[in-house]
Amino acid sequence: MVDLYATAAAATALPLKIGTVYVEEVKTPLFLVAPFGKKLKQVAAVLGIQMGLEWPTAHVMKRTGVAYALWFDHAHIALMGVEPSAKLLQYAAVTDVSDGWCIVDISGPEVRDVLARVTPLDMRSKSFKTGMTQRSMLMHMQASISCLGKSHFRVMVFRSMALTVVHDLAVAMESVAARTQKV
Amino acid sequence: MRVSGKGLINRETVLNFKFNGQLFQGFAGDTLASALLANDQRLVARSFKYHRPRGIMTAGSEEPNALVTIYRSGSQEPNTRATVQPLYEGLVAQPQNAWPSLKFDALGVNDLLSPFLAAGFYYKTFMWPRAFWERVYEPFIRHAAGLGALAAAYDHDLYEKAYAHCDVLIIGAGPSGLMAALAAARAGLDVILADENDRVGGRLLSEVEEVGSVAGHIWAEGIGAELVGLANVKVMTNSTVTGAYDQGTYGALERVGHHLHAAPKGLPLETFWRITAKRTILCAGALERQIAFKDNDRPGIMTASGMRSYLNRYGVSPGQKIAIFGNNSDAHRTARDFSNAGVDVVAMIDSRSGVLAQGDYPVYAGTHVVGTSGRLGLRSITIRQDGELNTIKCDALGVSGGWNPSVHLTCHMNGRPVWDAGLASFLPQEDAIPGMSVAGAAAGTMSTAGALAQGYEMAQSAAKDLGKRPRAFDLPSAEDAPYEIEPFWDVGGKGRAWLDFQNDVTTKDVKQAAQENFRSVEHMKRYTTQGMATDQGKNSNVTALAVLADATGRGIPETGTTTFRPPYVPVAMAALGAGGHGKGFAPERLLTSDAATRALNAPMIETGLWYRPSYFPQAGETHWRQSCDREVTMVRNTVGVCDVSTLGKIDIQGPDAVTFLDLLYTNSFASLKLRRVRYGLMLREDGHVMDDGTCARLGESHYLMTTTTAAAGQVMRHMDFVHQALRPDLDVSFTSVTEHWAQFAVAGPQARTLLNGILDSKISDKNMPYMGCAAVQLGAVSGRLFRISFSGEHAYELAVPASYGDSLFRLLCDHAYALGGGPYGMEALNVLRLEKGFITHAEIHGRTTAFDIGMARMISDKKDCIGKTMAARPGLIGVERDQLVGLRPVVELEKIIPGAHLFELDAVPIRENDQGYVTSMCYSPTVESVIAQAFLRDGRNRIGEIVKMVEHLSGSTTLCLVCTTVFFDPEGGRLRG
Repeated sequence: MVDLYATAAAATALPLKIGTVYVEEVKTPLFLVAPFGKKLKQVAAVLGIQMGLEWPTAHVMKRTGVAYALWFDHAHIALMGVEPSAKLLQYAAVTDVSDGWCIVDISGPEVRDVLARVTPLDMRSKSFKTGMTQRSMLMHMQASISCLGKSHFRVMVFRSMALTVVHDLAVAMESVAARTQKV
Repeated sequence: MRVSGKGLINRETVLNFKFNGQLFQGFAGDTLASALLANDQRLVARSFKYHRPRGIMTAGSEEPNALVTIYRSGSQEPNTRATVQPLYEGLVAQPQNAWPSLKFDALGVNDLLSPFLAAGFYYKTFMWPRAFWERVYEPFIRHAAGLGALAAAYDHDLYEKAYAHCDVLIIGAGPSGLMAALAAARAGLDVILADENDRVGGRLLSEVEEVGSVAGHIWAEGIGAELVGLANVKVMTNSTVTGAYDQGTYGALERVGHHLHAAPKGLPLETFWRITAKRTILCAGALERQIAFKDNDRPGIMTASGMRSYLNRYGVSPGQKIAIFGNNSDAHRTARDFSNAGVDVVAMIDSRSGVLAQGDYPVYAGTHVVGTSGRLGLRSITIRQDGELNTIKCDALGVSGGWNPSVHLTCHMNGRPVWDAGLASFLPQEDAIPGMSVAGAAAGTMSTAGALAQGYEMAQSAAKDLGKRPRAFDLPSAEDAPYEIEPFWDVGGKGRAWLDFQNDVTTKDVKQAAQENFRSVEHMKRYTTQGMATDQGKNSNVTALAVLADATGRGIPETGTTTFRPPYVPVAMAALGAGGHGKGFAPERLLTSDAATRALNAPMIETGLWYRPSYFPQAGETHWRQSCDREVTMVRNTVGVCDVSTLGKIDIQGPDAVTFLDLLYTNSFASLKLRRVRYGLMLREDGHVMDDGTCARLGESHYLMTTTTAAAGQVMRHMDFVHQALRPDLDVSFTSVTEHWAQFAVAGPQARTLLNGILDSKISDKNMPYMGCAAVQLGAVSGRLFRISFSGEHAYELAVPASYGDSLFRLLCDHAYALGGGPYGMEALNVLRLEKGFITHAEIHGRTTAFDIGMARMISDKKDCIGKTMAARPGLIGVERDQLVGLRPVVELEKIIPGAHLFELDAVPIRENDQGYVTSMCYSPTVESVIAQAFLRDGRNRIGEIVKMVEHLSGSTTLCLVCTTVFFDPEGGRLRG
């Protein structure tokens, strides 16, 4: 019997701290859930009863402990941090994409300034509040960006672009850090 | 020279800098221009066309003359306006457009030849002899043309882009902008206040006047400090708003490190901001214009307001004897300020009659300046009063032809400014930019008190619009003198009077343009080059069109303006494209096997954004073909491993999944059994082939579609369109899982042996037949196995979650080595598929149909599919179509070149005789021949013919035998066996 080992998407490029901002890779289960026709109510019920999560409407992220349910696109929500209840399979297409995304947490006092350099999203704290999630560009990549706290975001891009997202974030972090040092 | 007791500079911080090879000193707070003037450097540049000596004309971003190249640690930046370049320790600047020196410029001879070089001379002079154009004229013009020069070396400088959002963007931090920002902030709006200066205050920094009983600049400083302290305000100094775009979006260029002696690592020189605002208040002020008179371009002649800026802001007098020439009340402020500062004001010349002195200096009312002297700097002016000429000695002349409100941004969405006869200026058209209002001098409100009030009102109005309750507060007292002007543009008379100093356009040129019937202002601009280059005619456009109006007998409003377009100030391409150099150019998509692949020294090839191994060189192999041939032979004889994770994978689930697939694919999937895979062809709506791939049935209503690497995104988009727009009734869901699975082809006679060495359960023909699929276990890891082949060999594709990709690839390679095999790359993969006649997007390139590629029978006649009807259109089927065939050279090993065209043997190889084209070729070590695929007119009926391949670029010709596309194992025994 073979024994395969797992590698992280960003390998050794993370964690990274530049200035006040810190980036680390998060390894967590990630499943996309798309309710079958007219089964939204049942899916929401399973989420609530079995997993203690509310159904997230557009741009919303719900959380219970380490489990997240976040709006993902017009057809999907994402379940993160937890394996989905088997009951969901009756009412929804559930697809494991845990290894398909590079998930990084980025945090620190100047995190919004850093992200304002890589995404056109409105990063003001009154616009992008804790519990919000959005899909947008991160430099050239399509990304999912969620606000976990006032100075704490979760960024997801396709796994193959892990080193690119590290590069792009690092450039922005260096720039923001350098501004505080300039005389 | 410096003037004691004046200026907002820090005289305790001395800064050393170098200009034109000479060392100078300035102070913190100086610009390069103010420091040069303080050092009595009046000559700073040469003009573009006539190489006339030129000095500093303004104190702002509208500067046409003082363009310099700034040098910094190996890089150089041309066309920097000395008037906006803050001084820093160690700054090195060089003048441009002068050779061998600034004082003696060889091309100054152009000035002597000026009678021959007037407007339009290019078009008249370089017409003959015809042959001279390429050999003589063009090289000469190219050598002489251009402003400044870029360094040839790679640009290591950092630039940055960033995004900002606000409720109200206020452009300009003069009195109206500051008041607007304060009112908007107090109303609770999110405010961005942007100003191109390094400190707030606008004209208040350059004037001697009080606001709220304190000096204007002190008041501005106080308001600025208050704004900076507010959480809902972002004050962006050093930031010029460059353009207005749709949906409340504005471009702004921020100078970040340009003015620093030593920048911290990672600090960009500039940041290009995209600012999105719900409302905008333009408080951009106004720019002073010149009056045209003979030789009005000598160093020492500048705008009267610029002169005031140098005195009041920088503590510099541009000369020892100052004269002023104007047509409005504002010009007198310059005379007053210089006189009060103890500088000798020798004349205040006003074209209006009846004006009085406001200080101890002579006033010449109803008088014009008609000429000047001084080759490298102004020595004297000649005035005409009541028909009498007098010469006055002076070394600096401030000129004011009135003020042009800065309407530029209001014109960026095709707004046309409106002429105001009272102000003799164009004013912004109302609502020219959705959501933008205008306040202060930009709106023609020329007094400080008026500007404060208008800024306040516009902010209150914006607050109401955005649902906030405005907070009322008292405005400070401020100067409220009326602005009095009598339009006066051109003194007239003989000699050259400059309008556009940057492009050396004179009144004579504009009049000549009119005379030669270039009467439209846009035609005049192009004929004379008026208003082009870095300053975009900020000082000169209105005066030029007044001269044109006069020359054509029309009024100024009828003559109209040229179009103001973004950017408002020059923006480096590096700033616009910030982040796009080096690794920032495009994302790099790396395979999970990337590290292992690179460790094997495989050269990588880009396929879209993916990096894939081209081949895996072994010791002794010196040419890629050696590696490729070995890898092909290895797959045919033992076993090869290839990372095929880049192929698109789409997980499809739902009760209507199969109906959906039948609509997408030309062939039927209703009959596909569980744990079986089927090849599928997909058409676009217009009937041409979109993509091909396989689809596996994993469960009752659960499928996994694969696409080509090239079309993975396109197919996903197509599926979204079909589901949302055409069949929203279908209960089906699909998700891209391309990145979740690392997938490896294991191909060759030993493929099954290899897999049975690593899978928990052994496979056989029985439990894993050709085109079968199954879930498999590799220890603790669950995977998927597909028995499919793109090589024609007994082959599988094994997929595991991407985390295990690196581990599995190394394991597969180790097992392959043990069997005499190993990894293979894209080159071998291409040869293997060509030997078998399989297609890629080289063949299904968007212009070919199922008929063309010999798969017309795959369009099922038992069901409908997307593209079916359109694929049957006349012209898309039949003998007139280019059809996919194989080619071999008649003479062994002669070249067949992809992209080359095919002709009949005796036909002249011209477009009209074209018979088709080559799409792919390779050398096949299996059949020991060059082989190729091509599209040939009625090709399937021409098997056995000989055609002529001509590659026109290299001039190659090869005779080719037309054959079927399958060169190896046509029965397919190897892949099924």
